Amino acid sequence: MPPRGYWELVWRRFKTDRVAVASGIFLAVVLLACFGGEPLAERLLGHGPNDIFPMAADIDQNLLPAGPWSHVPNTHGVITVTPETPRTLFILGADGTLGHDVFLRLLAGGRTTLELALGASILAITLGLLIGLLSGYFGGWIDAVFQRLTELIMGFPILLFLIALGWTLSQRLNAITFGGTLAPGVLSLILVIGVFSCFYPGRLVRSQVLSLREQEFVEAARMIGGSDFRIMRKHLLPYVSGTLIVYATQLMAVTVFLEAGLSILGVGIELPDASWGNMISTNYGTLLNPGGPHASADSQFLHLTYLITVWPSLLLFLTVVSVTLFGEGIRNAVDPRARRT
Amino acid sequence: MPRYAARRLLSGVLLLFAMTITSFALFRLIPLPTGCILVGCGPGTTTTDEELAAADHELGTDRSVPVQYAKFVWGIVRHGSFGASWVHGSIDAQIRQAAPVTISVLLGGAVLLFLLAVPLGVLSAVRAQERIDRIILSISVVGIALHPFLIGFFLRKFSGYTHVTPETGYCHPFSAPPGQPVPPGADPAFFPQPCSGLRPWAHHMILPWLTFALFFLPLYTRMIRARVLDTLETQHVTAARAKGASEFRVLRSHVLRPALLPLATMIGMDLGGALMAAIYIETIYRLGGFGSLMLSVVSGNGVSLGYDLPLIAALFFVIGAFAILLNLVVDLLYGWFDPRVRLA
Repeated sequence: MPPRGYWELVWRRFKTDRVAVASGIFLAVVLLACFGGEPLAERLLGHGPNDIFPMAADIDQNLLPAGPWSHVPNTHGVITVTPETPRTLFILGADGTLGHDVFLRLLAGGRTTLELALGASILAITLGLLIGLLSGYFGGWIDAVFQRLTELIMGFPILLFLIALGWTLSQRLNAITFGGTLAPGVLSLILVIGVFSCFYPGRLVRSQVLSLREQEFVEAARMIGGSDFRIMRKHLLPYVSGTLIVYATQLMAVTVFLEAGLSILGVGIELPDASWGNMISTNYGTLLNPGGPHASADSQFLHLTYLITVWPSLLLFLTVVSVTLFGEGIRNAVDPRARRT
Repeated sequence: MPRYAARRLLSGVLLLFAMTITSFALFRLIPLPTGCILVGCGPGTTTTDEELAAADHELGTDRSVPVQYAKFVWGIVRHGSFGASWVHGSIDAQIRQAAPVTISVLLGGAVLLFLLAVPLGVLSAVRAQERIDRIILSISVVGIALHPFLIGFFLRKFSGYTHVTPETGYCHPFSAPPGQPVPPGADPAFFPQPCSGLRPWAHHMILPWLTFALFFLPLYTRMIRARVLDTLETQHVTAARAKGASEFRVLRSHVLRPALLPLATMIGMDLGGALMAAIYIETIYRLGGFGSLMLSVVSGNGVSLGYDLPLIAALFFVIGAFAILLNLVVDLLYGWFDPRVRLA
């Protein structure tokens, strides 16, 4: 029987953590629903998340959007609406005067938000790994430059970069959507968040490499003529990969939050493309531009449509919780002696 | 030590200018009709090219980018001033107005955070794996997933119902600048005057502080718990116990000091996160500090026009300088508190 490998041991430990496994399953379901289920649901229901259905808002009731599980006249390609106009199903109802399908927007918005979170985490981890390995292994002026730069950049709220640089970049990058895979604006957000959050994982990797590079096995590898690159790849990388995966999950949670914050402030993903953040602000408007489509309506009206805000908030909350718990499970599995922080 | 500090400061200043150069270069890459900020342009307007050029000249954007940058730096070095922004007038006045607000949010919030996080973290560590520890840990997992907007929204609603604290607004702790005069015969209610005084200030800041503290509380509680647990297992704690020191004394003198020291570094590093929370908090409670200033660089009336480059550069400069100073102070204090890491 061959000895168990490192990742096999990690998996065995991870399996015993029921909470972490459950959140992993939940995450898998969300990912599957958003990336695979959304196109499927679009095909089945016969309309898209950005399609406008004016008939979904009730003219007699101050444009009250259709409630959950309602059949709305499919006005696409129809000139006059008659009672015989074919109807289309809105599973969670419509989202306001424009009559977008909330259910489809929830899935499509999840796709946007998760694309952003995954992309930014992967970019930040890759850059952070590079910075940390280089500055920890070589030390000297490379390290000094990265350290000062890290201190400087980490003093800034990433939101400022996102607001200022994101806007600048998005003027040039909005057109790049990789054939419709990414919503406009996602790429520039990924770039800015990824680049400016790479410093923290960089520090983590650096501190680990600093203690590892003095150990005997690195010395031995150097003695038999291993190149710097080989030592980093073969002997240091496996040690830091666990920490990095854990940090990646944290960063995903942070990015999901950040996107919501940006959209609530009114500088995030722009309509008509959905994201969980801008869905939260459909009802009440953004903080810079308060009041959604129904701001003038009486508060009783908002009580009828509060679900439009609740769904994306709930999904956001559950996703962040399960990403956090999932990451914690990995952390315990990777380093069983470490304390839960 | 002084040499170390001087070297750090020097490299910090160099980085600061490197950063402002980058931001200037980056932002001037997009062609932007800056003149449109002063005079109307686009379809439906009758602005001539001469008027546009005059507006450009007034903003100083008709010069080359290096000249603009040199003027910006000269203003800081020679006059200690950031000059005028494109959209909002004097930058110095804006920063002077915004800084006290943000400083009171951050300082008060940090104090409240400490008052809450240290007892909770220590309690959780001392009672590790018991029921109270589990409760604190599970609440903190949920708390990590609560957006500051959500916390702020609920607190505002709560105060809106109970009227315990004012919902929004800021009070100056010492003396307020003169507000807009009330025209004779007008209803004074339409011309709100800035309020001042220590008590109204604290009264207005309760909700922002609470929001700030609650936002960071889960993370810091868990951090403190882990640090205390680690320290409890060190040999000097065993030695102190063997000597017969009471549990309280062990905690106070032998555990807390080494356990809490790294938090100083955390706080130095977390300035960015704290400022981000300040953006959220100042927006929710309409305080009008640095956070609101940061939002104003492109949003609001800036969105259609572009950005306010002098303001962005000035903000980058101020925050960067503050970050460098804060990290230096933290590192120096650290060496002072913990002789083991004292610098040569």
